[in-house]
Amino acid sequence: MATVAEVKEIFAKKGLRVKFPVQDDFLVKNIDIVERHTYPGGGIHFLLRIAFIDNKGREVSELFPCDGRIERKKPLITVSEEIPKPLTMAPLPMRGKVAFENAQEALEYIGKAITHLITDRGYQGIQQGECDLYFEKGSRGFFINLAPRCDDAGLGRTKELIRLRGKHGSGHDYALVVPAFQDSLGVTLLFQENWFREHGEPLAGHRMGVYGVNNSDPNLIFPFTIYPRERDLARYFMYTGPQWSILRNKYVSTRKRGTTERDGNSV
Amino acid sequence: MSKGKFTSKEFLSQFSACPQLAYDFSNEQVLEEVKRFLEYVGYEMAEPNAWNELAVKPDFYARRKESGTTHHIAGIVKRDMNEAASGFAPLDRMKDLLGEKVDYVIALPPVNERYLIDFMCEDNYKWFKKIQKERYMIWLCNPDEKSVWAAFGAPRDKLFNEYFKFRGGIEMLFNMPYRSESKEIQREVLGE
Repeated sequence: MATVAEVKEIFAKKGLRVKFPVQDDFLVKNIDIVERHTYPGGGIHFLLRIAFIDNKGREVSELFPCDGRIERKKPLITVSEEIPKPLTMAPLPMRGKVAFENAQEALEYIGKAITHLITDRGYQGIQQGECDLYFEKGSRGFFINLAPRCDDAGLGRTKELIRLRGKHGSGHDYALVVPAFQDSLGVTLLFQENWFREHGEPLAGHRMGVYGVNNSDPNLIFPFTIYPRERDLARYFMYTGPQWSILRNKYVSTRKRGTTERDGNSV
Repeated sequence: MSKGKFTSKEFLSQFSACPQLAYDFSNEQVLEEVKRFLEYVGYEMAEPNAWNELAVKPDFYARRKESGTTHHIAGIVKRDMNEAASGFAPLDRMKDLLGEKVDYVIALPPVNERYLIDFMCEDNYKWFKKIQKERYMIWLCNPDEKSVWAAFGAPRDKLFNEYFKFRGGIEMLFNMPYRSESKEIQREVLGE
């Protein structure tokens, strides 16, 4: 049976300094962590249930609130709070409107936008033939299909990617890129959101990213399902993700006032 | 609308009438989905070396070679939780012959979680303890969605983790299965 002093030593070896309010020579029979809170600065709070044998030989079990510090090798930083690195390439010019004349225009636009983002993060575009766009960074590939609308055809494009995932493995990223707003192409926001409600979860289950390019700003791309595995890109999407709801609400409120996307106004 | 006071007991009692299967899939459909899933992960359907010696044959057996190691998986398909209990004896017999290095699975169509939990809680968590001890897995396969959820247990081959739709999660629903107080709470709340 260990003494309180020995238990302290074991905790210290783990990088955890906890003050025990018990005499050092008491024998410890059992320790349970009833509650634990860690704080960003390294502080830690425990509620310990310690069963020990006191100086009269009785077994006593008591609850002790303990505060201490834990030394971590790396500071815990939430990636989403970190501002992503600025673009190393010159940003793409704004479009100034959200409407597309046709699907071809939308495809060209989202293709340029995603290529710009991914090459900016150190990927190299490679002609591969199995998907619309393929990029590589080291041993990691990024398979991308483009779709103008979130509809059955768009779903078909994700199925192609799922097939590719079965062929090339889970070590790569797979994504479908769509315009963020598709009203001008015949798919309402309501329909689009229903599409995500129905297919978003299964697509995320297959680790298929679906990313929406802002119709007026090609430098802003939103994640709709999962983040890519590549850290820099994941950080970018963690940063842009929360902006989607703001833009969406702005778009909806603009629509309410009677100026629809078809009018071509920028959101 | 009921005039009585709304209670959690009343609320939970509404769940008891739910059907056992969330979707109606045949064993063949589930088996096809499991095979597709294994191939998707990178496994090849095969026969174990000791195939002829096996008194009980698995419904599926597959292997995947990876730099120096070969991962094996064997399993059987069952229709629902009523049948699932009869799946453990064949797995035990397979395990006796094929050994510890193989992952063993009982594949089911999507079963309502309540029945899964009830099954695990039966006879003082008999099946739950068995699954934990033997490192068996229970998979819920949805052929429509082409997805597999590892409801209980985890495979030795970590590559699976990249392909499961979900992993685990059920354990949380009947928190702390070995604690007597949780059983008492369950009894009290569900009126069992």
